[in-house]
This record gives sequence, C-alpha cells and structure tokens, in this order.
Amino acid sequence: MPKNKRKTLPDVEELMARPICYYCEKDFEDLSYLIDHQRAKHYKCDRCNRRLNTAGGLGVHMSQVHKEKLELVANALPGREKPDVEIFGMEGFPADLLAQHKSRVMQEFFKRESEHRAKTGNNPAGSKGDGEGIGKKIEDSKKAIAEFKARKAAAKAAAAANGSASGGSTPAQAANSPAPAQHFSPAQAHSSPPTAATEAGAQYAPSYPGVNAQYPAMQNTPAFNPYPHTVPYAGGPAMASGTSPPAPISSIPRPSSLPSAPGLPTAPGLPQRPAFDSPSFSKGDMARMHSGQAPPPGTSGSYHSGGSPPAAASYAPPYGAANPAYGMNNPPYGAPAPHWAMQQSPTGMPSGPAFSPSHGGPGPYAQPHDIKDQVDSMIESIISGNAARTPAAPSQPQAVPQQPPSNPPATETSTPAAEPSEAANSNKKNAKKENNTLLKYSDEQFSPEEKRAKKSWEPSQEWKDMMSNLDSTTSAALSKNSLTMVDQAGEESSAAVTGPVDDAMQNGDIPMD
Amino acid sequence: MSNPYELPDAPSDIISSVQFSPDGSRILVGSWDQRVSIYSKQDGGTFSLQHRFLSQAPVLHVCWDDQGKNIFWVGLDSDVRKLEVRDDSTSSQQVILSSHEEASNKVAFSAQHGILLSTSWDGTMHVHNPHTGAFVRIRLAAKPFALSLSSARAVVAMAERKVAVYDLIALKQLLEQNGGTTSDQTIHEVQPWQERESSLKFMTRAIECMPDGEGFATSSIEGRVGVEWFDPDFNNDNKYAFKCHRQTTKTVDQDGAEKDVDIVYPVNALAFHPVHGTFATGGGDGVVALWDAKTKRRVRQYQKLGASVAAMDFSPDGRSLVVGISPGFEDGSEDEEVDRSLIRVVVREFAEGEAKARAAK
Repeated sequence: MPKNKRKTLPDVEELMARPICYYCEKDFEDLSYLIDHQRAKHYKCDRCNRRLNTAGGLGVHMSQVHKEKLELVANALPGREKPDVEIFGMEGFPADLLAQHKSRVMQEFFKRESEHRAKTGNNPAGSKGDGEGIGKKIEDSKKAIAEFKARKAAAKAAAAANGSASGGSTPAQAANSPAPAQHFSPAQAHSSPPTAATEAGAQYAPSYPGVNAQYPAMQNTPAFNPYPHTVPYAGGPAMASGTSPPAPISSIPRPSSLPSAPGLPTAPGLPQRPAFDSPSFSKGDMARMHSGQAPPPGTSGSYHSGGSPPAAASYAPPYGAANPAYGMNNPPYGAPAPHWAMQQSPTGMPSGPAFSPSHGGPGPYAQPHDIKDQVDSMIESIISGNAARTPAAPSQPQAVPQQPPSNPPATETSTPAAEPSEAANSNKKNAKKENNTLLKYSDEQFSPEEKRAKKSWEPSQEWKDMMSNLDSTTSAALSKNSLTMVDQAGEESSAAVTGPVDDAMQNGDIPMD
Repeated sequence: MSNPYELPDAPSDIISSVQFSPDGSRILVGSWDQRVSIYSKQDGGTFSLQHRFLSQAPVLHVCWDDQGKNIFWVGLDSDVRKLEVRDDSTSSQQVILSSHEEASNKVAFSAQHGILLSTSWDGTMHVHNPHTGAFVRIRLAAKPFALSLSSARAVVAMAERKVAVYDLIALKQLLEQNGGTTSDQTIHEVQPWQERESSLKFMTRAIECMPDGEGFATSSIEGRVGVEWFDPDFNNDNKYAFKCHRQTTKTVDQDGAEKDVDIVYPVNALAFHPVHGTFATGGGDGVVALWDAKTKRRVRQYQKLGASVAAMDFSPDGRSLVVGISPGFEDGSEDEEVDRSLIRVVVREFAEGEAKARAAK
C-alpha cells in the first residue's frame, strides 16, 4: 500500500514478491517480519509461551516439556492446521499453494486498479491521458521508470484479462462509469416522470423533483405534518380524501429533505432519492412495537396519512408504523428496497448487471447496499437486529404490497396478525447486539436444565421392566406415587427405610455389560 | 497414556454431574439418560465402567458420602435417592430419602456433619440424615440454581441474584430437633447465616467453596466468575469478578462492515484444586481454564474440548481432573436431540506442579 499518496501503487510484481504466511495467508513487508509473525502466532507454546521456530520444533517442545502432543497449529486457516508441514518463513511453502496465492494477488491487483480507474475516471496508467500529464509535470526520472513498469504490467495484465490492451473497455469500468442513460433501461420505464405521476406514481411520486412545487401546499394541510407528527392515525382516511392529485407527495417523510439531491449528478427524469431519517420513536415506543403492540397513535400512519390510497399502499409496509410489521423485522422493512433502488442516482448504483433490462423480476433490485446506506440512520435508532434482516428482504420483494394497492389507508389500522413471540425474540437479540456481545445462553429465570426438564420424560423401558419384575407392593415403594410405603416403614421404626422395603429394592442395581 | 484420556462407555445423554469418590479411585457420573454410572480405577491407572444404575428419571446431580460407600442422587422425579455401592454389584438398594414438590437439582453431602442437603426448583432445601432417613424441609428465598458446601457452611445460589449461606451446625441441630419424615409437611423458615446478593448480574450456573472454607466462587451464564469471601469485611476489600469463556469473532453486519462480536458462553462448572487452592472453570465453549484466586491470574488454559463442559471435579489428591462434556446446553438448543458422540467423560492428569499457582509477578 502506498504510504504516500503521490507514490504510484506498488506494482503487481512487488505485491507478488511479498512473503506470506502459510498458516494465515497474511503478507509481510519482509521475511523477518514474517518469521516474527509465525513465531508469535503459530509457533507459540500455549503452556509456557515459549516461541519456537517451526511446527516441528513446537511439537518436540510440547512432547518433551509438557508431555503433550501438538495436535494443531494455532490460528491457522482451516485445512492448514496440520503440524507435520514444516514451514519456516517461506521455506517449505507448497509450490502449488504459492502459485495459487500469486494468481489471486494478481487478480486482486487488477481488479483494484480497474476500480480505481473507474472511480477517478483516469485513463489506465500508460495510455494517453491524465496519468501521463502528471508524469510530465513531475519530471522525475524515477517516476517515469515506475510508470513504465506499471504500463508494462498493465498491458500484460490487460492482455491476459481480456485480450485487449485498452483499459477503457474493461468490463468493470464500463459498469461503473456514471452513465445516466443506462438507467433508462426498459425495466425501469415506470420510473420515468410521465408514467410515474399517473400509474406508478403511487410508488415514486413522493420523491419526484417535479412535484416540489406542491410541497408548500402540503404543509398547509395539518394532515401532512412531516414525519414525526402527532396527529392520530385515525385522521388518515379523511386526509386522503382531502388530497387529490398531488396527494402522493404528502407521503414524503420530511419535506425539508425533499428538494435535496446532494452531491449527486442529476440524471434528468430520474426521481430523486427519497430522503428519510430515522423515525423518531422513543425507546419506549420501539420496545412496544417490538413486542408486537401497536405503535403510539402519533406515529401510526405517519407515512401514509395523507397519501392517496396507492401511495399509502406502497409506503405503508416499509414504515409499518401502523402495523406491527415495523417492529418485527419482517420483509416490509426491507421491502421498499426495490423502489428506492430505482430512485438511486446513477452513481449510487452498484455495478451494472442489476440494471440490465433482462431482469424484469425482483432480481434487479436485489442490491441492498445502497438502500442500506440510506436507511443507516434509521437502522441505528432501531436496534440492529432489525436491520440484520434487511438484506434478506429484497429477496422477497413481492411482500411489498402486503395491502393491495386498492386498499384505503384506513384498513391498515387493522394490524396484520402480529407475531409477538418473534418480536420478543428479536428484541432479545437486539439487546445483546447493542453492546456487541452475544450471550450463548440468556434466560435469566430458567436454567438450561430446567428448560430441558420441561420436555416430558417417562421412566425408561428398563425401569418399567424392573418394576414389573418386582411384585406390586414393592414396586410401589419405588415409584413416586406411593411414597407412603416408605413413610410407613419410616414410622414403624425410627430408621426411615428399613425392613421390607429394603429387601424389596434389591435388584435396584442394574449391572450393565 | 495420552492426556487427557477419555473414559470408555460414556453415558448416552447429557452429563449432569461428575464426582470423584473420597479416595479418588472411582468416578461417579450422573446423566440425563436416567443413569448413574461408577467408573473405577484399574491397575493401569485408567478408569473403566464398574456399575451403572438405573434411576426413574433423568439424573441432575450426584454425590458420594464420606466413606465412598453410598451414593446419592437427585433428578427430575423430585426424589432424593440413596444407594449403597457394593463391590459385588449384586445387592445394592435404592432408597428414597425424601421427595421434593418439583424436580430436585442439586445434592451435597457434608462429611464433617454427616448430613445431606438437596435443593429443588420448588424453592425448598431438604436436610437429611442419610442414616436414619429423617429430614427437614427448609424454605429458600428463591429458586435455587447451585449448591456447594464447605466444612462449615452451605452456600445456595438462587434466582434474583440471591445467595444464602447457611451454617451447617445450625442445620444439623434443626434436623435433630425437628427431623421428621414425609408425613411432617412443615416447611421451616430458617434465617440463613448470611444473605447476600450475588456479585454476578446474570444467572448463577455453578458455585464452589474454597477448600480452606474461607470463601467461594460463583459463575454465571454470562461468561463471568466471581470470587467472594465469607468474612464480610475481608470480602468488601477483596471480592472480585472476571470475564472468561468468551470468544471474539468477526461478523459482517448489515452494512457489510466487519464487527467484533463477543460470544459469551456460560460457565457451567467450577472446581477448586484441593491442594493448591487454584480453581478450574469449564465453559460452554468447551474450554477448561485454571485460575489462581489469590493472585487473580490465569494459570493455564487447555485446548478446546469437543463440546460444552457440563461438569468437573478434581480428584482428592489434586492429581487429576474429571470433565464431563456434553453438547446442547451452551447455545439454547436444549430441546434438540443430542449428538451422542460428543458426550464424553475425560480425565486430565496433571504433571507435578502444573495446577499450582505461579508466583505473582
């Protein structure tokens, strides 16, 4: 890695020449570091902390000093823990593994290079362009040599990678270059302005730049309080009726963030990012929602309240404020992903394939990363367990219209069947994750034994056989239900259990084998 | 002899407790397959199965009497059972000493006072005279989780972080005055010698008194061990708790960022070394570690065993440690069928001075 930004990246040969550790594949600046690493991480005796030079040495030490056999080399990657491979520094490194490693390093190097190029828009080192300009500016012969080297390497690599020496056409670059046009692929036709306002508008209208104008009006309507509003949800339907055509906007989470598309190249016709912030639920609200209860009135319907029915439908599930789904990590939370993904500005889009027209189904949207960025703040305030499920959600986007679009918002007040148990579960997990610890066992009231004891048990067959071999009175003495037998015996004589009972309980010992 | 070595004929279900006999020649093992097993030492120094007794229900705890002649066990059938162990293994007799209202989870015998204590999830403790069969019921403040005896005290760790220390002499006197049988249903309210709050915030898994009788160690489900002393003044200055049996792993959170997550295992077993005063902890991670209570240092940590450490006991001479290993309890999968191959009883022999505390730096 370059320590100095102005230095050129280490070339691929340098990278490949770095010594690596056989056991953990970590690479080092130089051989002596590697040897130190191996002594500290892999050849240290866990009994006396003595550091040996090789696995064999450690084995001998263990057997002689501690009388134990070295079974595994510590901290080794799976499959490499065998102590019988003698490795010292790079000595003894199996050739095939080394070759594998080198090819991997090479791949990574070129991948990074192309990514870097795509990001910066620089021409590949060696071709005419910025890179050369810089090289000229800094008339440093050493640099020139380094560049020459890099050029050679790049050419070689490019030839190896796709047979073409021009880096500009590497697939990665093509995919990453900000080309707005790409995003008008047929699959997204519905995200183009005209249609959005009419049919699909229900889904996309909220963040339409074009509708900004209607935004003030919205504010006048009490119903359209920005997100953390306190109007009880019951007002929802009424509002919906009050808002005709431009209504969809009303479901914008926070008006203030509406017009902003900070730092993103404006792709004409593409909707802006929906801006939302974390819903400002209090901790208590959160807890309630997690436990499957309805959220406080103020929050319910916050997102759909003013929305025309379709809009509400498309947003309702994600915010789920009105339905417990919100607190339950159910798909709804992540479900809106597809829509948001569509609204991503081009730069936000991960590599192209997701947008290829051929993907008509949910597939194209299965790109949770961008959405995640946006929801991050939300995720933080909600407990992380929730979010953990987010990635899974896009895989089932069909869950989005949990309420059919035709449903008036009012119906959403009737909460879909809650699953309190799951909610409670996730709650527990969340609490654990918050401080980054995970209790393997966390029940405070019941010990594991007691939990297991709740499983019904029956006297085993052997026990029953044993009982049936004894005559009835004596077996009674042994069985729980007629303890009185023992008691009577106890009352008869001061020694609690003697006499007949004792005799009867011969055979209590079942010799095995 | 490889070290540690595994005993043959391991039980077929989760091991609940293991204990060395007072002379160290036999190992008693209780398990959920409703059996109590006795392994005895052979000429070669290895242990092999000598007896296996059938009980009515899964066995939760076992113990020896002071002579190694009788064994006691408790289990899900709520009964406290006694059995005389004879070498010829033909004529042993199971006797029910008492019955709790619910399953009984712990039993312990005081050699000094000749009394047997058993606790149950119904929130009672029974004090028995195992010879006469007389016993008294004592109400506990909460549901008991663990029980341990020193020469003079009995320590019961309970729910709600309650810990009660009873004086064994007082318990014996109570037994002598009121010792009745099952017909006497009175549950005595006894003021413990000491009432404490556990130094651990989470549920207690195990408790063990120091061999010198000065204090005790407790362990919780949250990978933590506390060491306390009976003397209140000394305790205030010296008690401590430390974390153990944890594992830091990297997980990828929803942002794709790597995060360190501390996986915390319950500490299921504690055992004090009878000679050196060090103690061993066994956790759900399958690790056994040796600690020095005085210098507060880890003496040793042994390689991972295949599954959760369920129970441990040092031999009376301190030369070996028996460890019961069973899967299941450590990760909340109590309901699932257990993998029998993971259920093992291993004995680790210590080299000279291996379990000894190293000098403080």
